[in-house]
Amino acid sequence: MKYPQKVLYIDNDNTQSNTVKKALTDSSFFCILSESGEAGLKNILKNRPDIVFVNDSLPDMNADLFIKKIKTQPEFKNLKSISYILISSDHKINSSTLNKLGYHSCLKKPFETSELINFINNILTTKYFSNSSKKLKPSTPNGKRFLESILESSVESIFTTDKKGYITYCNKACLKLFKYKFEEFVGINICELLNNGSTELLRILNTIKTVGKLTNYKTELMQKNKEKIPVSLFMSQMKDIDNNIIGYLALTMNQHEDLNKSSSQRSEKLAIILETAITVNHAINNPLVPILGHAQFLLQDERIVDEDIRKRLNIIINNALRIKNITQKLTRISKPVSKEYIKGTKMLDLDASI
Amino acid sequence: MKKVKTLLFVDDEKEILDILVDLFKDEEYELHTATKAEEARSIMKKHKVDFVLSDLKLPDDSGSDLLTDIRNNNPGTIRVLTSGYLDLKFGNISENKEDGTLYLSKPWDLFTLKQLVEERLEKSL
Repeated sequence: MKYPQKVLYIDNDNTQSNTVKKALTDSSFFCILSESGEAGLKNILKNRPDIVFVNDSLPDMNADLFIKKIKTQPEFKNLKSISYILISSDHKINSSTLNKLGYHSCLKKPFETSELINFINNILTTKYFSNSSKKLKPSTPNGKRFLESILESSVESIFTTDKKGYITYCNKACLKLFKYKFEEFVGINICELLNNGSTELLRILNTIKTVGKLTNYKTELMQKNKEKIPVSLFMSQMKDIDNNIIGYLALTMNQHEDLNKSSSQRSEKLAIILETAITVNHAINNPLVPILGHAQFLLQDERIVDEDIRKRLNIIINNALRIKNITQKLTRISKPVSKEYIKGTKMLDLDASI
Repeated sequence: MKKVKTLLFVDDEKEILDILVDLFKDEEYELHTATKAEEARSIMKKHKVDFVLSDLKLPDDSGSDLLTDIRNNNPGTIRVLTSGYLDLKFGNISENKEDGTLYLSKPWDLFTLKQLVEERLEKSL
């Protein structure tokens, strides 16, 4: 059974609350509404939501008092994984103020329901990565499990690091590529994987800092057994909802597999060409025996004295030999090279292919 | 009295066999042709063949296996394997030094082939 993420929305504006509830329900969230601070506190204990939205103008208490109760009352002590979000029309509120208050983030009013959904998804993703030094528990609610299943299904190696390059999470493809166990891999620094260690990491981080991301960076990364594997590395910054860098997301593509694949494709192509060459040699050179043979016989015949006929017989012989030479070259192809035959149509460059 | 030499040509294409017969018919040779390996084996049992030329690809066996049998049963017979697939220049002959089999690429130069037969049979005397 899958459990939807629970969102508690505390606001005394019923119209707004009902709009929010419909939007969240449509997006597969479980939404609980409370009209006051007190009702909200009770619902936190009763429903244990994942995210709580608190309007800054509640009738019975302000947002500051609401969060103080959460932080001080013993019954809330064990509910630390809940994210508290302030809903405010005060556009001057920054992350420092929020932290002082005890809120994780702020959703500025007015907002569209699509904005709210994106906001929630961002929070869940950030929570996921900030908790990622531990393997997600099987009982993790639907959103996290969905996110994890996407990462685990990827055939490409994906891992995350903190700001200093220490690995905080990796998927199965990553463990397979680097030949580590999860508990061994998480915690090591990316420097240990890079062929040129911290110098290379510094260069990578500078690139990301300058252009925001690292794309298709060709390097060699080291497996647990110190064997080097050629990879294309893609890295980008992971940011929280306040745009603070919380780490890096890295994706590596194994170039070795690509090289093997393309090498195997080349071998298959060559094998087909050589099979064709054998067929052509057999099919062409056998008929050439009587063509050449009879032409040679006629040239030896003393009755044939006409120079024009002899010249024509020599042309037959020369062209038959030309065909033999071409079919023979086909069998010597070692690396097929194409050239343009006519515009849009290619042909084998026989001499370059041998 | 000089003993007449016996030649056997094996190829599944009749026009190729005709050319070979045309090439040697005016000489003092006893000529045999076969279009299959089994037919060639049967001729080998009935006649003392001095020279055999076989195509590599025969309908019932490979020419290479046929020549191996001939080498085992008739070590004195001169053996030539021919094929359109051999990578030899026109007029060139190659020889396997270990077993003495000669290789000739199709299409052959008739006069190279004729010279080869004469020289090798002369040597074997």
